[in-house]
Amino acid sequence: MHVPLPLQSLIFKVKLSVHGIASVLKAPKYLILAVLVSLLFTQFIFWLLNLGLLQYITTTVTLTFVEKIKFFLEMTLVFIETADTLQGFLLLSISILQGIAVALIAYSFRSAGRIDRKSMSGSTLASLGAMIGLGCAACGTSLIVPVIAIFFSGSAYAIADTVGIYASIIALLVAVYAVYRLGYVAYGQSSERRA
Amino acid sequence: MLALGFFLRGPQEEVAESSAETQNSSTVSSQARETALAPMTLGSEDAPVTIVEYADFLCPYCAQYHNEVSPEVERDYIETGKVKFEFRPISYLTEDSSRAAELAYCANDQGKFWDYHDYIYEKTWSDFYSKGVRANEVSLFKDDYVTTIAKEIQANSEELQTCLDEGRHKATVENANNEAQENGVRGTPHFTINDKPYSGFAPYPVIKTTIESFL
Repeated sequence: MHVPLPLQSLIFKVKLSVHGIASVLKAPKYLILAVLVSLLFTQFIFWLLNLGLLQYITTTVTLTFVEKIKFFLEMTLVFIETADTLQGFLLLSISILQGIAVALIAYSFRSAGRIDRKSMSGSTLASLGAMIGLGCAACGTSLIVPVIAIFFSGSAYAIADTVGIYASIIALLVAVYAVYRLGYVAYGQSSERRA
Repeated sequence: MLALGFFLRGPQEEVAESSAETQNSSTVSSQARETALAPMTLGSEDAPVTIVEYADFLCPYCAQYHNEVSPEVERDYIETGKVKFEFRPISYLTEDSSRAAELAYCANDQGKFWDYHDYIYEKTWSDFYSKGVRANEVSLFKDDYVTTIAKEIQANSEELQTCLDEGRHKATVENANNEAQENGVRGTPHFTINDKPYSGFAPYPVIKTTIESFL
């Protein structure tokens, strides 16, 4: 089967990018960083509209340190269990990609002393998209509802629900692109180091 | 479970007495009076923790909470006397929301609030939201819905209809909505656990851990 040249080139670049990502995440310190950032990002997005309660739970002296850790582990299980819903899947996917992106950014910075600006902007945009899109638009607990309500008044919630889903999907695509670029850059840097 | 629920749910006579007293007091604002008319509570008055929930009967995440999380909270904390639960129906999401909230207050007049509450959330979850139907597409409050709901919750259908036709609780719903807004409710479900606010669907660990921090 004939594959057009630009597509061949893209497939080749994606393969190199995957190699780059794999070689970075092979190092335990970057893998741990990716996992930690993913977990923190999931929690951050989930708690975005309830930061007061999060602050209370994390700082109250009436709960022990073990109880607090147990709470965050239980919440992580809740996030994993909700992955069969569209919003749960988007939240987990974007969080994992953000974790990988941060690990790759850290690797790039350590090995070359600079960061690929396009990838960095992509990762930031993905975070913003996730903040806007994820959350329960239908029940008003979404960041975009108050903004949309200014323009659409009564139908704000129905519109926000749809806009939220699209914003999350765009965030996912942007996160995929950011990770692809960072992986490609990381591959180049690791090749340079080997040479 | 139903029998236990009956004992846990506050006596309606006391509610009626307290509301009559409140109505006679000229110093109490109409808003406070309307709220006092419908204290829909579960659990012990002396419980160290009070959970207040503002909810819309057509809110999918409220239905999810009442089907997936609420039974555990009832079993672990309300039935054990650790938590007092107050439910405040508001209308927020769709055109049918105010009808659903008004009907809740009308059912409360007949001592059937919790039957109504359980029926609506079970029905909306099993027939609509668990199948991905959107709130504005739920057909539960269309056509001859009063008769159907009255039959399901064993309430007096004519009385419910009269209550709705006369708009007996229109102001109650409006006041509940205003109260919710003043209390910073931006969406439903909205919880306060001993005055600590939480907005949105609350997974069990959130409710459990917050309650535990007060025990």
